[in-house]
Amino acid sequence: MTLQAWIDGVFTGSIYALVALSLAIVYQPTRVMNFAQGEALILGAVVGYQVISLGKLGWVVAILATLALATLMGVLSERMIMLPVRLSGSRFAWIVATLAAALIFQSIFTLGYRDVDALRPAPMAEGGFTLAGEQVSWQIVLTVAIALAVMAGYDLLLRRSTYGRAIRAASHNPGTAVLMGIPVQRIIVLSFVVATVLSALAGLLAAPVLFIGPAAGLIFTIKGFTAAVIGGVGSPRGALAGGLIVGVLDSVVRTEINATAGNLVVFGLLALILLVYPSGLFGKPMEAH
Amino acid sequence: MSLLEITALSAGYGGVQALFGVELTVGEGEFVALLGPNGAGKSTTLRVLSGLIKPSAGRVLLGGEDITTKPGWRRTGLGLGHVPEGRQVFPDHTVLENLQLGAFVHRRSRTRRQELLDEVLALFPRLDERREQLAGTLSGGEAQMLAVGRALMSAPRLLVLDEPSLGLAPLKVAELFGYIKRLHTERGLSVLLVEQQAATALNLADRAYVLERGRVAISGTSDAVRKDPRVQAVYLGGEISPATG
Amino acid sequence: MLKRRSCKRNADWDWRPGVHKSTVGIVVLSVAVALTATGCSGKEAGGKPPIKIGIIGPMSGPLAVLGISQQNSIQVEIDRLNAAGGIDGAQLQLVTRDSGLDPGKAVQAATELAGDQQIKLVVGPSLTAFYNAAKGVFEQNKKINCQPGVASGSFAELGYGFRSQDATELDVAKALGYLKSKGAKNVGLIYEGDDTGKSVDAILAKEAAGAGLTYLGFQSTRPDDQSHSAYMDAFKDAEAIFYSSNVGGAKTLAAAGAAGYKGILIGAGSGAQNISFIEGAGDAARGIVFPAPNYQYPTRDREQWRPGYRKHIEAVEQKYGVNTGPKTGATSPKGTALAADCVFAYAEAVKAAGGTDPDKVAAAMEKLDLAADTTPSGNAIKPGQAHEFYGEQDIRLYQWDKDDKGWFTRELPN
Repeated sequence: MTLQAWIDGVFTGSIYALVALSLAIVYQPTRVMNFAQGEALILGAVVGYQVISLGKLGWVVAILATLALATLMGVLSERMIMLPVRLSGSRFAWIVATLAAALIFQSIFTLGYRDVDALRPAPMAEGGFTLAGEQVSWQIVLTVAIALAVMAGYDLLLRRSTYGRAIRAASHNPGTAVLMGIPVQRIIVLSFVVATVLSALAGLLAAPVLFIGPAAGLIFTIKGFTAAVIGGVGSPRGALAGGLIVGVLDSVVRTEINATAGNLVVFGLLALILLVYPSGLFGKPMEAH
Repeated sequence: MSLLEITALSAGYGGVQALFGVELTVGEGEFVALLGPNGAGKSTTLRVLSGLIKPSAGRVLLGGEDITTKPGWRRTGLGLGHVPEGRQVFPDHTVLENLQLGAFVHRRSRTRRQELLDEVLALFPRLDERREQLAGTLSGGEAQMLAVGRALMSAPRLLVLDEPSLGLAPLKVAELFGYIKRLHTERGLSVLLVEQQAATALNLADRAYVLERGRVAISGTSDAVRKDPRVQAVYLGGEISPATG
Repeated sequence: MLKRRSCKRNADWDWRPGVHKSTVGIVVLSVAVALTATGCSGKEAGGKPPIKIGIIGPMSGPLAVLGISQQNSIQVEIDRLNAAGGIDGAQLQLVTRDSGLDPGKAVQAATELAGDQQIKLVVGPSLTAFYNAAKGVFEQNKKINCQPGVASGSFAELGYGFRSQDATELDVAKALGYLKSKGAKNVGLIYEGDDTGKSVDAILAKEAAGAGLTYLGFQSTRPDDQSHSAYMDAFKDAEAIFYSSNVGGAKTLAAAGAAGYKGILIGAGSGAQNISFIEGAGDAARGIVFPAPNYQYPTRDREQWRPGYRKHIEAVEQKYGVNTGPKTGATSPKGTALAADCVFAYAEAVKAAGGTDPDKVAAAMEKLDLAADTTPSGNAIKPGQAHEFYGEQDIRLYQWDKDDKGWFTRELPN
């Protein structure tokens, strides 16, 4: 078992964890698992590529542009997904609506960058250091640190702040939350915006290290989804744990055995965890809705 | 001017009309009961009041302000306190957190929130004892107290209670109504009580309305309503076999 | 839309990314194609009906660069031949079919073109899986087929199919010779776990020892890998690593760069000539080596280019322009000279056979022996019984590097 595989796994795992957290943020008040979540990550990579690689405008502009565009994308996603979900009586409307949103965003990205295999800007933090003979780039350290900080911050917000309690209340019982004067609809829009911004930042941070193609959104959605389900949907700690499990397990198994086994083990574990802990490692049993 | 004025209210669900020109007022400091069998339109009236459905005609005025088209969550800040049917406490939040959620409209003022919390906990010492407990673990009576306390946390001008006695043991019902009576008499809180237990409600209320098939069938002081032969026959005598649908 | 593409003449395919530019570009292009479509149908000269040449390839979707480049080069070669009076007294005309990323479409197009008596030569469909699905159709219909985009498999048993690309075996053999000359002791392979990856693995397992190398094994990669550092880690002490010709190759290079790998990185095919490698891997591509048939474009000194190649590429540049990597500025022509060789060789074979009878043309193709200086690709064409246009002597080794003027390759001495 090599250290490099662990470093890799922790890095990709923290990216998956951010996607898993984003999925949970939207899921809580809406009960919608947003299959378009990964597209927000691509948005971050696209902005990094466009602003840093092509525009040579630097990271500050890239971060600002990501925040602005992700906010817009979040508001747009809420309309594209929640409107059909509300108008349609079908229990499965969210599947169609989120997949449609995913395909629409994916088409926009692939049209814009159809010959770009990898949206890879230069790293925000150049260089790296050596840890027990292994190269670790600062970008990896920075990304993991930011992911952990975001996760801890969101956990704190959810548990300690008035808004966090309101979000949890809206998640449990939107009808009653409205009676408390909680603007549930605004919380839903805000959730889409926060989730999109977090995923886009993950994409911006990861793009210099990973190979993120314009059509890779669904892959990240699936990895994030797996992480969220393993960890327990709705809990930031679960997202973190799930993300790290998916990332490290895939990376280590891939190194120790082979690539196909990596996916096999991860999805096998997913199946096993769902059998033993139906609501994930950190999740509370989901009530019917 | 009344605190709550509902005029010519009609409403329905997907083309099926449930309310036909309902008129209802609650005066400042008044205790009003809204009675009627299941399906008479009590719940629909409350849904319109809380903003869950939009009326097809008529107006709702709170303290003289037209709130007919205001989104539901804004009405809490204007003075409507809700104790929803079935209590609907947040089971994964602690008792304290449930109460704090009730004060969401006062989130900008920490001192106001603390004042309200102290008042409510003084009123319901049992909730104070259980403040760190998850609301999901409370007994039915305690949960109902929490629901009332939570509604009081918004410092409402009008407290709206939807079937609070439902599912409670008779002793608990008496205790609960004792609290509500005290709130009304000692603090002058205006109350709109929706109840099926007509006798109990009429004992508490100053005035009452009886809804039947979406219309106000009988209204007046509690005494007058109690003496109405129809009420006598259907509700009071009928506590044993209420004519519910 | 597909039919119209066939007579598109001046559509300037700007592949450079950029949201506004490409979206607007696509709209303008579609309009332009639609407008010119009506005026370019039957250009029949000299009484004889035109000889139609079909191309099947990805003209849309993520691999559109491949199909469009082949189409451009073929069009340039057709224009050149037509200007010289056509072949067998007839003018040539190009018919394009878009396979996108759908093998079903490729088979459908192959069936349609193979059944069309006016079509005498079909180029493509590119990509091994697509070709394997379609090749039987050409044999049954006795249609001359030329393949500039399929690296693995054998063409020897085919009656009418020829390959105008470097076979994987040739590339790997060349690369092994290079590693031997550098004194490398061992080598590993990082490649997609697909047919090509497996065939390279098989070749290395068999041939590495002959070059004095220990074969360290095959790390098969997945399309959903976002990083290859796990595979790189397995070979961190290897003296040389074979990387893939596909997008995975660039991931390997990037991972090697990140890990500070000091050994030799060598292509298991000619894919690294594609500037998307440089775009993806960035500076990690400096110093990488790849085997390829003549590809002098990034070598800069045009005086050294083989005459036929230079003429062809400059005609492509003039007509279609140059691809420029938006990030790195690396350039490539908007054409694939190997595809032009298909038309060039076909014209020579028709000349030798005295007509377009497929059996006679196929026989004449086998006997062709065209000098490297004359062909559009700059490689000698000598198909023989193997039906392979190019032989061992046509494979060269190139190395990517970068200086203050940008990216370039140098040809390594044999």
